[in-house]
Amino acid sequence: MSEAKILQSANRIESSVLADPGLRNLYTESKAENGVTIFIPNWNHRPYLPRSIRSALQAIERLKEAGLSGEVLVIDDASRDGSQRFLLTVQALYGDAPLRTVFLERNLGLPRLRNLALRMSRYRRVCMLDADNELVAENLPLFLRSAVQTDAALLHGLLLDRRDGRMTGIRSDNVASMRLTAGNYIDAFALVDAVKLLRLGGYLADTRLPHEDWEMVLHLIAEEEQVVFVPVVMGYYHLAPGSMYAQTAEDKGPRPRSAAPEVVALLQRMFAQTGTREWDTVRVGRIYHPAVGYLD
Amino acid sequence: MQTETIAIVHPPTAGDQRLVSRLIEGFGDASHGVAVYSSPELCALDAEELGSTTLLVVSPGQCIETSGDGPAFLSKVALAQKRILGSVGRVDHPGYGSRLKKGIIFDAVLDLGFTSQREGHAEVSDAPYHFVLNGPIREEGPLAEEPTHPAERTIPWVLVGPKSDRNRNLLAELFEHEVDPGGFCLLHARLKNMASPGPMLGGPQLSAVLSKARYYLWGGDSDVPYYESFRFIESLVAGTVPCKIDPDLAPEGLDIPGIYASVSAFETEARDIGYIAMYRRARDFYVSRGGLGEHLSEALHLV
Repeated sequence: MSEAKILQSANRIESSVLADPGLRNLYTESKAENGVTIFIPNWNHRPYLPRSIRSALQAIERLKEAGLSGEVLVIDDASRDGSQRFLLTVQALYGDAPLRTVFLERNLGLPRLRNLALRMSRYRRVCMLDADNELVAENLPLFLRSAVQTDAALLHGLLLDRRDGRMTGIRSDNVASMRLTAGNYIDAFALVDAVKLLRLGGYLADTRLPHEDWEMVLHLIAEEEQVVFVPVVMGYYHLAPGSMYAQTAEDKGPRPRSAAPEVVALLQRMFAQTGTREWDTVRVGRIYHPAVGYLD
Repeated sequence: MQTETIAIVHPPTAGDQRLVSRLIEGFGDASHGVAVYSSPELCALDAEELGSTTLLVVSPGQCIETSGDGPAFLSKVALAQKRILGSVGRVDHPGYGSRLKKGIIFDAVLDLGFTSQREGHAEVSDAPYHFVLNGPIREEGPLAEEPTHPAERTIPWVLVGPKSDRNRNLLAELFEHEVDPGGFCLLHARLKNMASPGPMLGGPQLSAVLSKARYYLWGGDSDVPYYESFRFIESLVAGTVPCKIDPDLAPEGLDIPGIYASVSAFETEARDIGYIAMYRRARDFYVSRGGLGEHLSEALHLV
């Protein structure tokens, strides 16, 4: 029995993705260690794709200069805004670039899309770059080196909030602690170990839990996997006018930490049954920089 | 007047232990015999021993809190020949005035730093003020004239401190001016309902980071101009160039190197002069003004 089947039988891999024979052909079972797959999920984000793809391709160049390698993987989740047409044009224009595009016929939703990317990635480390965000290309080699050296399941750097070209805040800027049971402060925009995440069941696709990135961090902590913070800027978190996060940021400050009460209640039921531990300063994550090593 | 015995009094663990260590080193360099007592130890001393002793009190509020018997601590302090407040930091900060109003009548204040704050102090207290230049101590050894292994300094800049608007703006400026984006940035928030702040690099950890970096950047935390001498020293000792970016401080015309009105001004100098020359300039400033021991001795003569 294959590893996937064993995990599926243990109910630790989403069956809906595995069951699609067309998608299964796209999976890469054996993943290379010396590079990064930059994954851009897209659903109706056509106006922002040039920025995210450009930063991703620049990051691949920086990886090559550092003797590493990488690819950009864009999966379109059945967009209706003409994203596919744009992506085909990019693919044609940058024929030599390490850019793969996949067009889904039916919408899977973000958690399943992330899991599909973990399955498809050629490289073990996957950078989750949402379509409206932007990588700081120069720093990706440092993050990859950190991920390899620490063997982290999830490694995050600083994200700079940007609105109308100006920086308005910082996020993902603190080491993981049990305060995460009360609210999330580590964004999905991070470097993850595809092998480890898949072994642990991947991102949870559950309509009751729209914050799959928050659930994943708590899940990794519960599974005693390493969550590592590298205090260097990984990228820009763009707050588009009218977006949900932009409005939240305007109302409540730069960090959208609060989810719907029923979501918080469910996550606390899963990961903090004896009560939230926002008071608990015990760090479960670690701080690391490749020039120095661990800083705690 | 030359005092007979000097004793540094400090809280056992809290308070400004860095200042305590620095004072001990400075007095040691000047061959001053100095006793060191934690606040509970002072409470246990015989009254007779204090009659000929000048107490140099660091963090008096925390001394009282941690003494185990606040009134007894204050009565013992009152028995000393003289009482001096040992201080470092801005005199306009509310904490400074508070330290002077803890029930101890101080005969003098010794303020360690790079610039005198006499005028600011006069607005807060009538106690005689003595500025002590925070010069080199023997333990730092002869600072290298040239930074060692500059090629191994792969971190272009370091920004560490509280997550304040000023530090956030400084980070924003660094990216808006497209300064090398590979800098090390750790800004910690003080969290609600928590006694201790978020991740804060301790001394050895910060030194480890600085030893791999070229520039140590920080901004002002107040509209009142002030220069943090300890930041300068920990930076230089690690071979990193101290750079304060503070539009309120830059026009003051201080002779301390590495003060900039903006990131743009810093960037221009780093590009035109470069790391090694900037290090050399900071080092020359620091070693050319006499050691801390010498300055402490001079100040004590005036008390």
